[in-house]
Order: sequence, then structure tokens, then C-alpha cells
Amino acid sequence: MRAFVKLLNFEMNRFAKIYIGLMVLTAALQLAAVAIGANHLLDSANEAMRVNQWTLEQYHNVTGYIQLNSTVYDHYNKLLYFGPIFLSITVLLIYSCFIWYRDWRGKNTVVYRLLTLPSNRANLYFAKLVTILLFAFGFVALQIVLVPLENLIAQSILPAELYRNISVFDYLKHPTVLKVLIPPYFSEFVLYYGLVITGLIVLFTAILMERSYRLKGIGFIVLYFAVLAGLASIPYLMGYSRYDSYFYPGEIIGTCLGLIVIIAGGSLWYSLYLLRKKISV
Amino acid sequence: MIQVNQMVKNYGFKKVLNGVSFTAARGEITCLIGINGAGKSTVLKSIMGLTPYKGEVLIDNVSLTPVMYEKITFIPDSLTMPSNMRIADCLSLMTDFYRNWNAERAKELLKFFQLSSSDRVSSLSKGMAAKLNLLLGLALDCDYILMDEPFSGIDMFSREQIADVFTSELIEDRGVIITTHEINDIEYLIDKAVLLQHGKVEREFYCEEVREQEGKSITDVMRGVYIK
Repeated sequence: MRAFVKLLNFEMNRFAKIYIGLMVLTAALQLAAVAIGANHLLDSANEAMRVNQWTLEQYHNVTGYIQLNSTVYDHYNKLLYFGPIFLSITVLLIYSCFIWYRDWRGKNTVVYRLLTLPSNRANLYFAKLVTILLFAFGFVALQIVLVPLENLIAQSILPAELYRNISVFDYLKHPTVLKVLIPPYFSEFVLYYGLVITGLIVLFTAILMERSYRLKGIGFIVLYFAVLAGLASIPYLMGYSRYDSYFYPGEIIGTCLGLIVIIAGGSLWYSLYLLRKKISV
Repeated sequence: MIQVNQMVKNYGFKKVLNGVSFTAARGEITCLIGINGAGKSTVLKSIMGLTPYKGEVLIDNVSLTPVMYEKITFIPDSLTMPSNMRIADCLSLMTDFYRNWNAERAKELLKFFQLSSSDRVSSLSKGMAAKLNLLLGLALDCDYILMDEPFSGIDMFSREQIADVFTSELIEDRGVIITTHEINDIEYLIDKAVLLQHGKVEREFYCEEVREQEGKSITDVMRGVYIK
């Protein structure tokens, strides 16, 4: 356990600067998006009141309250607000591959050191896996923390008669990428993040196959993905998307969960086997 | 003692090692010699469990397990630390992971190699990097050290400094397996030579015996084997 914690610390430090930079950029752009959006809405309200000779109350009666989500729905604002989220997801996806390849392909061959540490090589695998997951959860946490701050910014720009505060929970329920990143229901959270963890384990398995068998490994990866596609098609064959399925929804969901456990468990076992017995420097 | 028995290794369709067997005892410096592509580095990586192979490797009669990386260490020809770290960070990483890390010796070696703990790994020249690599291996209180081309691409003075290590107490009582092209630098320091050719051990001999009985240097024996 001690070796795992040390390796986790080592792995997190290696990406910390880029990660913190990404977080700062995300926070800055999203807060700016809210400020720009709120100012834009205020200008529109002033313009509408001037043209129609409305009072603030009359304007409010026509348009209703402005809430935080309205400030980020403008076309350019959307890009400014949601762009950093997609950028962060992309960077984390790329780093999920790079976290292994950098040990082989970097200026220094760090993999020599990592594979000859006097601890089980499984620690190295889990340190890399948990590093990516912690970065992902850290990013999700940032999104949650930002909502009250965004509320404060919008509140400071818009008049109290026009703006109504929204709770974090209600804000995240709007159908945006945030609803996928932070599902409102626990069952959805378990399912989505179960799929993310399984996807990461599958990706790591593919990378370790390539690192173990090199060119031949690419052939094995194709075969591995074919098997995964076969397994993933089982719920569809059971009528996952049909109303007249022979199976009860509970049975199909049970099958899905079973498949996730089989794919994640099988891939994990094979990855650790490769790391112990087949990996090549 | 390190025993390598019938080691076989293929890269694709190419058989690099075809039943390599030799032994390396504690207190001796064993040199693996061979032309480029003879599989010298592959033997070291296989002993360290860094590449799969067929055959058997026993270290003091036991197969390699992760715990044994405190008993045997590998000094490859490239640095094993991330380039954004400072030397001080490298040393503290070693302290964190290895119970047998000798911090006192590391400090002495830093001085001997004229390295500064505040230097970044990325700023080190090839010679300095080789010295740091050597430091990271030698400051471990382990029984066996495997070195892959420690003299490769470094200047004359650094070579002399590294060669000095082989006559120092740092190596005493330890078993060393070294691969090198620069045999002249350490010809009189090594105890045993293992000549690899065509994936096999062509000749395994104690240098002193060959010098006394045949009146030949290692280079002479190499000429006999490689230039026929």
C-alpha cells in the first residue's frame, strides 16, 4: 500500500503543472463566459426597456427571471463555457495513453526504474489508473465549485429584480455535458463512471498489449476489440432499445452490469499478467 | 551467484539469443562482450525481468521476484528518472522506494562525481547523466549490479572517473555484469569475460587465467573469436 501511495504521488506530480494550468484556464474562461453572458443579457434588457418604454417590472413580466444557465447559452458564450470542458476531457483522454508511453518514449527511459522498483508491478498499474480517475474527479469537483461563484458573478452584474439564484443541483440538471459529467442520480453516476473506469481499463489493456507484443500486439488489439464488440452487442441482441423485447428491463440492465464486470475484470487481470510476465522495454 | 541457463530470445523472426548460459559470481566483474546486435543488452534486460524470454535465471538459486530488486539493480545506458526532476528529487525518490538506499554513500558519490543536487536532470550532459545513473545504482546496498554500456558516448575524463569506481570499495563484494564496447577502458579491471556470438556463448573465461596460461589479452581472444 505504501508503494502504491508513493507511486500515485509520483504520477500525479508528473502531470500536476499541466493539470493545474488546465483547471485555471477552465475556471477563468467559464467565469468570463458568465460575466460576458450576464452583461449581454443586461444590455438586451436595457435595450428592450428603452425601445418598448417598459419599466423593469414590465420587462420582468414579459421575459421572466434570468437564471445562471441563460448566461451561458449564447452562441459564443457556449464555446467559451463548454469549450474548456471538452478541452479538459480531450487532454485527459490523450494523457491516458501518454501516461504509459512517456515512460518508454520520453528523453529518459523511466520505465526501467518503474519496472524495477521493489514492489508489485500492480502498484504501478493502479497508480496510473487512479491518477487519471483523480484528475477526472478533480475536474468534476471544479465544475461543482464553480457554480456558486458563477452565481455570484451573475448576481453582481444583473439587477436583483431580474436575476434568480439557482441551486447547484438544479443547474446541473439542465441537459448539457455537465449532466453527463455530474449525473443527478446515484444510479446514473455509478453507471456512467463504471463505464468510464471500464473504458480506461480497456485502453490500458490495449496499450500494454502493444508494449508487450509491439507490432504483433496491434493485431491482438484488433482481436480484443472484436471480442469486446461482440460482448457489447449482447444487450442489443436482447432488445435493449426495443419496447417489445422478450426480456424484462431489469434483466437487460443486469446483463449490462454483468458485462461491465466481466470486461473490466477480465481486462484488468490480463493487464496485470502482461505487466508481470510479458512487458518489454 | 547469477546463473543464466539456456536463455532464448526472439525479436520477431530473428533469434537473438539461442541458448545462452553463463554464471556471474559475487565479488567478480563479469563482462559480456559481443559485436553490435549480439544480444548483450537483451541478456541484462532478461535477467532483470524487463523483457520476456525462454530459459532460466537464478539469483542466489532463486527466480526473480519484485522484492529481489533490492538485491539486484540495473544501470542502463539511458537515464531512468524523469527529465523535469532535480537530482535531489531523484535521490529522495530512491529513499522512498528502496529500503537499502544508502543516503550517506549517495552524498559521497555526488561529491566524487562533482554533481550538484540542485541540477535538473534535463540539463545534464551525457557524461553527467551516466554518472548520475551510476550513482543511483551504486548507492543501493545490493549484491549484484548490471551495467549496460556505462562508457558509451562519454568523454575521456568521465570514463576515467567511472573506471575508478571499478577499483573502489563500491564494487568490492558485489557481483557485477557489465556490457561494453570500450573494452580497453576496463580490460584490466574485469575478472571474467563472456563472448557472445550468433546468439550463443562462444567463450567464457577468467581473464587472469588466459593472460597467464595463453599469454593473451581479452582483445587478443576477441580477435580470435570475431575476426576469423
